[in-house]
Amino acid sequence: MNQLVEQSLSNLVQELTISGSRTLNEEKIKQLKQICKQTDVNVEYCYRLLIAQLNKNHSEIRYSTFQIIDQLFNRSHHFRTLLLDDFNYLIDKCLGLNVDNQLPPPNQTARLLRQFTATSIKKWHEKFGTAYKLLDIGFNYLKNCKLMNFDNMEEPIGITAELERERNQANQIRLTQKLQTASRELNETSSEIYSCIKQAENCLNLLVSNKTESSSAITTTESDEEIVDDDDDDDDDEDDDDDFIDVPIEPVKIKNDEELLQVLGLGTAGKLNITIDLNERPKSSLFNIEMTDDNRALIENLHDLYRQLDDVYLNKIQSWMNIFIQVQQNSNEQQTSTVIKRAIDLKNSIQSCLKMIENYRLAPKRTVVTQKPGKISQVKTVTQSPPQEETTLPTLTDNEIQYFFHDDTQVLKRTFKQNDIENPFVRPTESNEMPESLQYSLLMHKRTYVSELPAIKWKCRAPLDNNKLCERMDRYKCPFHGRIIARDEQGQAADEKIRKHEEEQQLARKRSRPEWQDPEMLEDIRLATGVDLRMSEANKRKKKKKKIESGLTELGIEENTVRKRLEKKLLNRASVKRIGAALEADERRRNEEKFHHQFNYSLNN
Amino acid sequence: MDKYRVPNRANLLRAREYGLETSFIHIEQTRRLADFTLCKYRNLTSYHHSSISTMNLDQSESRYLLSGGSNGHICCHDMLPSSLVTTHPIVFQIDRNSNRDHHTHNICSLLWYPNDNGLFVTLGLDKKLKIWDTNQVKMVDEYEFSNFAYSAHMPSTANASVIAVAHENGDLRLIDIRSGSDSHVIHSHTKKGICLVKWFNNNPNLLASGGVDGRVLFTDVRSSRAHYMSLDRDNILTNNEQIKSRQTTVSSVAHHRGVKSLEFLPDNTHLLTVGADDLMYLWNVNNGQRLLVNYGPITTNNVRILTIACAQMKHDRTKSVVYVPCGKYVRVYDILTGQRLTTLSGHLMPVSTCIYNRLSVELYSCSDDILVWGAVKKQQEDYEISMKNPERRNEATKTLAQILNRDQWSDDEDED
Repeated sequence: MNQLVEQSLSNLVQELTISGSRTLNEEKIKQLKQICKQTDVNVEYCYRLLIAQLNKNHSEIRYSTFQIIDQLFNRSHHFRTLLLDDFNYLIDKCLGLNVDNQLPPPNQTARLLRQFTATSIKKWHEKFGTAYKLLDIGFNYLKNCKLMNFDNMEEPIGITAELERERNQANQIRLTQKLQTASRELNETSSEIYSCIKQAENCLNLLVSNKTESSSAITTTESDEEIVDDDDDDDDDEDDDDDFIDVPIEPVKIKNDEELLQVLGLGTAGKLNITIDLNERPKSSLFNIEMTDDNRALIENLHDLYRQLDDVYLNKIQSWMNIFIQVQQNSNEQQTSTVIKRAIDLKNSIQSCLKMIENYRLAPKRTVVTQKPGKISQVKTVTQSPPQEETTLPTLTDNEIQYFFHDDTQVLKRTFKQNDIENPFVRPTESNEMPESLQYSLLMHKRTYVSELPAIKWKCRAPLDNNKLCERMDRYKCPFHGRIIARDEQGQAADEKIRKHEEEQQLARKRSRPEWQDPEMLEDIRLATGVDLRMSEANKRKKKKKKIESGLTELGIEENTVRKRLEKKLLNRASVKRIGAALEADERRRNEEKFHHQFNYSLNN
Repeated sequence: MDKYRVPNRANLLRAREYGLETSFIHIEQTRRLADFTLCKYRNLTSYHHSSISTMNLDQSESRYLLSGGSNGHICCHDMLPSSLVTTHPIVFQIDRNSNRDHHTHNICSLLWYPNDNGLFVTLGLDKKLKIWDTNQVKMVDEYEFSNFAYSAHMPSTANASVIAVAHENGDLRLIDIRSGSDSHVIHSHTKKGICLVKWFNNNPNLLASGGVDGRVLFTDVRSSRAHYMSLDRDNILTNNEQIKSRQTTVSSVAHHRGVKSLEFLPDNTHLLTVGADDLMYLWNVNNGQRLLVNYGPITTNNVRILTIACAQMKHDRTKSVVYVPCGKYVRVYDILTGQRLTTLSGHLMPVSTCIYNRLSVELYSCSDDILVWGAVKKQQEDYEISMKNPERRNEATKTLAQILNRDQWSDDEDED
């Protein structure tokens, strides 16, 4: 083969594969095909080059290479036979099905490569499967043995994935069944609930109208809005109303505005604005319906209804709604939304009904009882809070005092008394007194006191570059901004001296960069003239390795994460050395202490 | 390689003159042995969806190929019309859907009855050995064991009826299918177990068994001794006077690790063994000596039992070839020199079994798929060329021809 052709082929392949772009350069691939078209020798050489490129540990190279392979595979018979002989290699390098042999980074492109390879192999098989036995074998292998899904490579493969899928399906079926039963129950019970609500309302109507006989036609569902406490209308109904006499402030319900106006003798409707604060109306006097023999049955019935609604139906609806929500999370179908809406409507109507009953103070007693403990606990917390804030001073608890300052001579004595010794040469000492030396050593005995530090309540609040304040909460010293000092709202130091010092420092930092290196100005120049005047820090390094221009993503770059930066700070040599020294000192101190104890002991005994 | 090539005409004539090459048929057969390629246009009707663990070809007609999958399915293909372009049909299949008595676990051994193909034996990892009537595809007898059985074999000599079964606990069980007795157990191996058992080709009373501990024992089932010979890898056949022949001892092992394959050569005097230590050894059966033939490493990872296929020319015993599954490839060695002739590649999973068809001179190999190999390179090329030739193209093969013919460099490039 011609040396020139060889050279140009290898150049083309190199350029095409290290471009790093998702699509191939039209011009270059055309040239490549032009060369390959000439003879099968060229095809073979090109094939060798491509196979070598596939071995590179970079997904972008492999992706571009596979695109070229796809182009040539569709065109040349010779290329097909060559590739199919190495089909295993292709599968290894482009699909990465083997756990030990996965696709190289970057992951984004690797995923793309896998998908593209799968779809291409499928297309090849459709087109050439009948003529190429090895392609057929390869395709069947991928389908049957690797259980590959050619349409969607993202789907996990293998037996575990299959099981997972089955489980999901079973779960889905179970959920839909649940949904169906729940919605059916909802349909069945909704009428029941509505009738229950209606009964409650009617009961309430009867009770309230008993109380205020005049308002027999009032629909109590909107009673809150229509109830008006009015003092001026007693002259009108006084003759046939006895109950009003007992009540100090007589509330009367008025049918509509017109009647009111009539009563007041004001014909000009609209000019008059009467604001009535409904919240402040004296409820107790208004709706305190006492239980009498007449209305006992009604009230008891109302209590039953209230319990039924509150305990049974509300709980039921809640459980149904839980099911609906669960279904909706797993499959965003539209059908659930209507059911949910219905359930919510039902719940709202029940709750409004219950509220109404509670407004009339006709709810069963139980609800009142449950409110009481809440109040008590509130009071408790209020009384507890102040002493918590004042525990900044280190104080010793009784236990600590007992531990650190108790007189343990008795204990020691007991340990030194040797009554039960049966050695004939050692006689038990008669005297109860401790030797002088022991007393001394007791005095010298060292105890460590560990106090708990109070919680930190301050922040560093040094100004940051992004116009915010440092949020770190350290005890004495922020690792980034030094000793924590008092600062004002803007983060300026309260102390004049320190503030000046800080400002100077900032200026000095600015000055360290030459004026003509101002980044904004340089950017302008670069845009205008195209000359980059920045002093790059990596100047020296660049000169060393001058590479061919490639658009590949650099794999070696470590991501600049918080973790990395912290690691840089925490695990650098100086800090590790410092910590090591501190730990060592601590260890030495402890050892010395031990030695000291032992020494005392051996001397004094 | 040279001895498998066709000699040029002058040499051929001279050879005939000296009586070296007797028949052109032999020459042609010899050439074919070492020149296998994948038969691209022969398909087997696909059946197995899992990997195929073992196969067997019937000995009477060399026609029906049994294959057993790792999921316990068994299938039989008719391999007979061995023309260039065929699809081999399935004769019968035994699986969950078609047969009540199917195996539920991996198939370990498939055996055709040596005398005719009306009967075959299957052994599965479900601890069952079943005997089947081929014509009705019906189970006629079943033996259930309490231990796993890894391998079973039947002597190929006439009026043989004893099946030897290798158990995981080191028992060697003999089953007489005529009487139905399975009580005869030989404790020849240690508790570690037996991998493989093979009867001698020419003697229905002798068998060889390979253990997990790497020992290969020869047993005479008539004698009361557990074994009469144990192969020792240090007992080698040399001309060197200084090396004394070694007596077999208790510690003698054939391989450092388990035995994966035992195969007697057609000449009945040699045995090939492959071990999990990735080595293949050639032994003299009569005195137990190892021949110093180096085949190089043979990777046997993940495959429990390899079945290697040996082919030997009757007229010239030195022309013998072995097809060894080696990972995803099948390697072809000259047995007596150890020279690697070719490597057959086409499988995408490790190959477990190779079977040589003596009559039609072709090779079947299986991994996840059964492939047929034959010496058809020339014919295939001719066929492809004839397909490209537009005059002889008929409708049925049109698409194939179109694809083969198409070196389709797209049109837009032709313009510039």
